[in-house]
Amino acid sequence: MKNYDKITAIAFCAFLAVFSVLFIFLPSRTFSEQENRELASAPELSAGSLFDGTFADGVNVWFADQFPGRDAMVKLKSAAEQLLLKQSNNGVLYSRDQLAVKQFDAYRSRLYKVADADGFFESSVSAQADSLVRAAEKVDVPVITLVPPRTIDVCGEKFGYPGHGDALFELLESALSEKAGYIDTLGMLREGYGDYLIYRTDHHWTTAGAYRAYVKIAEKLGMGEECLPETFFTKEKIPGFYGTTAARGNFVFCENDVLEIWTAGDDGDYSVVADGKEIGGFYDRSRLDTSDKYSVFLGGTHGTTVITKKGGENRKKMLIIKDSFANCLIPFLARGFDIVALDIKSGVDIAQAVRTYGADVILVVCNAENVVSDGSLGRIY
Amino acid sequence: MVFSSLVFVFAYLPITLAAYFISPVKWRNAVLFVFSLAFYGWGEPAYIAVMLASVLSSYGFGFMIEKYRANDRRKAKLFMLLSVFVNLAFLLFFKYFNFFAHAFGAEGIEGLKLPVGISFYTFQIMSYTVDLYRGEVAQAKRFVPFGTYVTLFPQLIAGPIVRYKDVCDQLSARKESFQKFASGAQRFVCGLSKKLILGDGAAAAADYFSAQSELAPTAVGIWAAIAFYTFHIYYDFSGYSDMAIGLGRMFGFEFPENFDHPYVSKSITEFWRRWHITLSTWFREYVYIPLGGNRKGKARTYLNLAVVWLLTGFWHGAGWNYIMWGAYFLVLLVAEKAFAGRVLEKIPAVFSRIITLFFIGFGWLIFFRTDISRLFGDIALAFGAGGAFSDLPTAVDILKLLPFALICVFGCTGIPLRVCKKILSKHAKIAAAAPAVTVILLLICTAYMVDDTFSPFLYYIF
Repeated sequence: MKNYDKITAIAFCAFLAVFSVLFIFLPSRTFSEQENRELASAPELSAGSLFDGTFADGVNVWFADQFPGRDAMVKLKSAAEQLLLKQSNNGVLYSRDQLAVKQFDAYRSRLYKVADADGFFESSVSAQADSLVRAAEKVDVPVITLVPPRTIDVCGEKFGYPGHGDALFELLESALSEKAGYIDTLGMLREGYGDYLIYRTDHHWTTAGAYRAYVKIAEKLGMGEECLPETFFTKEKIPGFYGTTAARGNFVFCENDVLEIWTAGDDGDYSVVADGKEIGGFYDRSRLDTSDKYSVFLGGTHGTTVITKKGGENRKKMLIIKDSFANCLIPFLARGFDIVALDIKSGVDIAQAVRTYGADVILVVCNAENVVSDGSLGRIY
Repeated sequence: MVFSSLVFVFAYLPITLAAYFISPVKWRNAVLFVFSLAFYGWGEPAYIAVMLASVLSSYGFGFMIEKYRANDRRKAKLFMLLSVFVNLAFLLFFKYFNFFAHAFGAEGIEGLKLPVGISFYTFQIMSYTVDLYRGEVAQAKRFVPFGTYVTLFPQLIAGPIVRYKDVCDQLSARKESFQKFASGAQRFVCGLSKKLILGDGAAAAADYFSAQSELAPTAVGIWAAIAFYTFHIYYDFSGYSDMAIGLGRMFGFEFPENFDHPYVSKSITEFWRRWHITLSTWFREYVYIPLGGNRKGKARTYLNLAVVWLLTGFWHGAGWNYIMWGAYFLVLLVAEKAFAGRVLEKIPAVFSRIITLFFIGFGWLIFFRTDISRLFGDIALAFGAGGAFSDLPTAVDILKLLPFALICVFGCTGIPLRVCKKILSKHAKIAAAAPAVTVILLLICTAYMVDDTFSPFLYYIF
């Protein structure tokens, strides 16, 4: 027995020592590919920060962010959770061919009294819808609103939550149908779930899903016949895509996604200017080498994106107020409209925007998660 | 600083261990003293002054008590009471001032923060003062060992509450050894795992069901929250005690045990002999028995019990729910003394265990609900008023967490330890796996600590 004690004692100390030494001597990383964010560096020491505790907090974050083998550690934790037979990690539900976030964070800020099982504050959603309707009334062009659902709303029954999100979408539909041109995407995606319309490992819809939304928008505008057929496009497949949900859940065994870029011969006819800079087309293929592959569409999220057809052809104008769900939808819409796309996050004064950019139709694309936890729809005024 | 942080495990602990074992034996207490102060001051250095004032006063009063205790009991008692009063004054001010201010409708002091561990070290210090007065322990003549005793970082923040008489010999003469270090390291890792893997997991589940019960109130949901609160507090607290005992052992100390599988108890009386043992011991020795215990008639016994249990409740926190929690156990214990105890003894053990656990769990609901109106709402809900019995999402949530819950149940019993011992007695060679198991568990714990700040920047909010 005595021998093992010695080994245990030494092994324990060696473990502490190895990681401490590695922590000190390994070069610090500034950016995490996996998490797609800047990592913390050593906090600055001052009398103030020492006494108010911010230094200690800073050190904690610094240690965790720069810890040797951080990415592997995070994976190990997820594997341990799976060993404990938990079917989720970091709020992500697991099944082999589909991941889904079940968002609990929204309840944590108890701003409103709620009475609904899907986890949203009814009063907040109603207020957002009212604000959008008021905004739509300020302008005399048609407004169309899409609220793409969360993965769990589309395939809740896969995880034992059939009908997840029903109450939320019923509320949105009744509040927005008449006055903000609400188009149901939940039903569309549920029906077509088998056709791979949403990603397995990412919270967005696939290009095929976006295409179906495009058809619905065209129909709503009475332009169904001008709609380009699927066969117009060549589908370029990018396998090995692990999206946002996978990045958050860190599961060891999960199937990856195939990201599709639907190209066409006329792609080169369009000029895409993001925040004042020509970015050379709808697709920024350099993003395919990063962890954030979805940003291949329009090069990620920008404040203002302007798309016109080269050669100065005079076309109808669509003003889009959007989050990232619109990024893979816009290439379809650009075939029929000149487009100005504004990021919903920065807030949009709709009348002002129409005066500035001009518009024949306004499209709002804001995914359900942003409605529930960020109040994004309320940013349009 | 908390034990379950990377800074503690990979910076503070290695540095402290190295400094301690490099130092000559006579310097080791001083090393522990200095490092313990650093441990305490990490994050809130200002409160070192509060603690040192407490330590210095009781150390100083010790001289006066010592001076008079043989031939002038009255004066000795006066100084003992003075010392206790000074200590309690700190505790009362920092922990309870705002509570009483609000209770009497006055304004509290804004930003008055509770110094970490004050409830624990105050009790430790008082044990010295009282035992010295009683003549049960020799006076602490040298300041450093006494300061080391109070500030000793393993038990400083969350116990066990170590009485001075339990460790005074160890302060002057203790032996560190590989055997102690190894068992200490194992105990530490075991405690760390309990806290990080089971305790935090149960806490997240409890929070979830708790939040869910606000959105869609169901009786089943609230009982699920109660079950996970029950696991959460046990794994958190007993894990912390394990870590404390383990760390103590690494430095050659032997602290008293604080938990003994409390959830297998067959009565509430037994539960309190197995739960937070050092606190119950403290209250028995320094409150219940001095008040006369059960030696002064039935009425007085019940009064004494009432004092002890209301204080026990109040010690856990400055809030009405904690007082209610203490009163709740008072009622249960009195009931057991009066009649229920005999019933619990007669019925099959499995039933008495379930009944006991039911009352313990219900107690945790009172404990965790600091908002009284919400507490009453939840109590009503637990018994079927104000909500549905259950709904589908809740049932699914429970089903998903069932395997984890069963692991938690299993871990609360003495079975894992018994099985390990049995295997080891039959196959001694398996002990060779101990170092590997320790390191692997520590690695997994490290992964949990690293993951704590895992926050992929995704465009959920874009």
